[in-house]
Amino acid sequence: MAPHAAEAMEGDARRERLRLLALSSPAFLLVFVVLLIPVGWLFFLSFIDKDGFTLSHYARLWQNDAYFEIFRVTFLSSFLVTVLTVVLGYPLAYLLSQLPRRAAIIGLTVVLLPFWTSLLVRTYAWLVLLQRKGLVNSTLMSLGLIDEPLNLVYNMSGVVIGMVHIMLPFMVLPLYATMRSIDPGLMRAAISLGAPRRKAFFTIFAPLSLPGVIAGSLLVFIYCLGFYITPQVLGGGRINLVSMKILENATIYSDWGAASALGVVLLVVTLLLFKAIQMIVPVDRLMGRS
Amino acid sequence: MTSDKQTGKAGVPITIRQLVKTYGSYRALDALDLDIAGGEFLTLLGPSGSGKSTLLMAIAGFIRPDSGLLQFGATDVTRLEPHKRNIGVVFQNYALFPHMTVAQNVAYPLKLRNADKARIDERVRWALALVKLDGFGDRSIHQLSGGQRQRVALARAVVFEPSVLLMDEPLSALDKKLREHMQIEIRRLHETLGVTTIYVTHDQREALTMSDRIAVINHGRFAQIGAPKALYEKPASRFVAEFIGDATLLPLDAGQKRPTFRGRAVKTKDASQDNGSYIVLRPEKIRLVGKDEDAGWNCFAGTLDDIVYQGESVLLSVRLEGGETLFLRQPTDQQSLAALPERNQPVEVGLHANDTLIVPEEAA
Repeated sequence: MAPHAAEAMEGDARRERLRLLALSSPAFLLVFVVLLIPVGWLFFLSFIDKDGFTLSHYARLWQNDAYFEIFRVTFLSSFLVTVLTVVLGYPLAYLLSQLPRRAAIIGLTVVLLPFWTSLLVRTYAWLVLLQRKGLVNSTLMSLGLIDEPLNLVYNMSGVVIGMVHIMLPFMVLPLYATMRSIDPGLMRAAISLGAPRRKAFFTIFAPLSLPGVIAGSLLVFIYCLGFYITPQVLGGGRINLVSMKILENATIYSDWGAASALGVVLLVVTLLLFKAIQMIVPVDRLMGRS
Repeated sequence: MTSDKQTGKAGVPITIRQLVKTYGSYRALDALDLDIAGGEFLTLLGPSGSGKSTLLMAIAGFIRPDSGLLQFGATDVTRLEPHKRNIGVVFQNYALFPHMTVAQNVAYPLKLRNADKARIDERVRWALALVKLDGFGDRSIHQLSGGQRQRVALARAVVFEPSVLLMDEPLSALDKKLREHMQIEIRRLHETLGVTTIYVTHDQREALTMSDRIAVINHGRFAQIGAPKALYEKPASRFVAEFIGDATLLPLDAGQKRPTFRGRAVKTKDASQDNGSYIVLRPEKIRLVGKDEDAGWNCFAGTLDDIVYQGESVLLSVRLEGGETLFLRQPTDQQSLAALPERNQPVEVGLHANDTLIVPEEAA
């Protein structure tokens, strides 16, 4: 048989690349249609009113101190929730990662179980537990630990408790995945070289689990920034977050420009924050290697 | 740590007495006794599941034995925590810390011992030079080849002058050429350091190449302990004869006073092997002989089944009249090749009386 010409072989390779590209096109289209177009539209709306181009929506955000306070509370609650999910999720994920695989899967299922009930149900369940005459307060009072019921709900603590509960799986899953991939032989090696268990944990295991902490924290933090139902119900209108203000502008005042401007500012501030974290912590280096 | 300086450069003798480890009803270590001299290179050799790794991990302290005694020099370490044992361990998959550079990996045990910076730098340089990785200190682990990682693991295991060096199949992930090279490197390193070394492998050739002594282990017990040559030339049982080197074992006739095979007396050098039950035929100890070449040889008639050219030698398989297959190794010089018979020809296989080895089923 005659040898094939280089051009023919190259043509085969090109067609193969095109076929692969075609396979990824549904996902690509989906991202384009449901993400890029709406975000672009949002961006566009925030710069117009009935008279055409305007910066008034942004000017209003800048001039009104109430908006600054809303942003402050939004970032503060998101930050608190993130820190608490790390504190609660890390030991849990560590325990699961050290269990035999079968037991770990059962444990993970329990962690994920809340996902199968409605977010609204879980949120109202917290309301029942945390209210003035709820289970938590009545238990604490009957034990004599407190004389007056604690204000656990319709304030920051209620919002944070509810959000931490909802967000915990989002922290545990990436942590577990990262920890499971850490070779248990490394801890043995460290111990054989003379490290007590605790020292081996802090010098070997903890740094290697850091990518999981960062991934989980970003997931939780960003999700929290736009969280609506849980903080709305457990905050009882006393905790105002950006998401609530956006809804208020869009549905009550039908002011899409103001709502869009809030969304854009939230997006930009989040991206800036993300960039800042990236500059402090070498995320790429940690993520790229394991 | 006490280190017994009288026994050599850094070699600490190890004493193991009646060491037992059971998993349920399975006895992974079945009352083992072993004395390892200071500075000795001892290999634990056995098939997978034989208990060799269990014993190594018990010495390292990662497996708690049920009962028994383990001593380094005069110190009882049976119940000592692993991080206090001052042992260097080289693991099968190297277990290098991926978030540290080569130098940081090697410096890790020194930092744990609170060495000062100048001392750490000096020791790390020394250890990297020892494994011929000078100048690799700033590399990341990901930039290293398998052989280089192996060397870093070695450097890290010896940099703090451990009293014992343990190696758990350290070369199994390397290709053959590199493995053979590293075997010689590890031997050289052992000679330089004089540290008592226990090496685990399932590769009998590796064990023969590297060890002062080999402890063959099977089902949690020692089948035989001895120098490589002694094990190969005088295996104590059928298992050792088959596990070390290639061999075909032919069963001797039962109930005879002197060893006979299919009614013919088997000639041996002396009468010391009379109570065995198998005759051991190794490919390099037997050869094709003429019909008349009878004096001093044990002969087995058969048919030449196959000829496999392997480069440095030719492997012949011969089917005996009783159906057993023997393997013979022949050199590949032109004269020997020209003298090879054709396939399916009748041949006589000869084993000289001086090379004749008879082993019992179980060690006495």
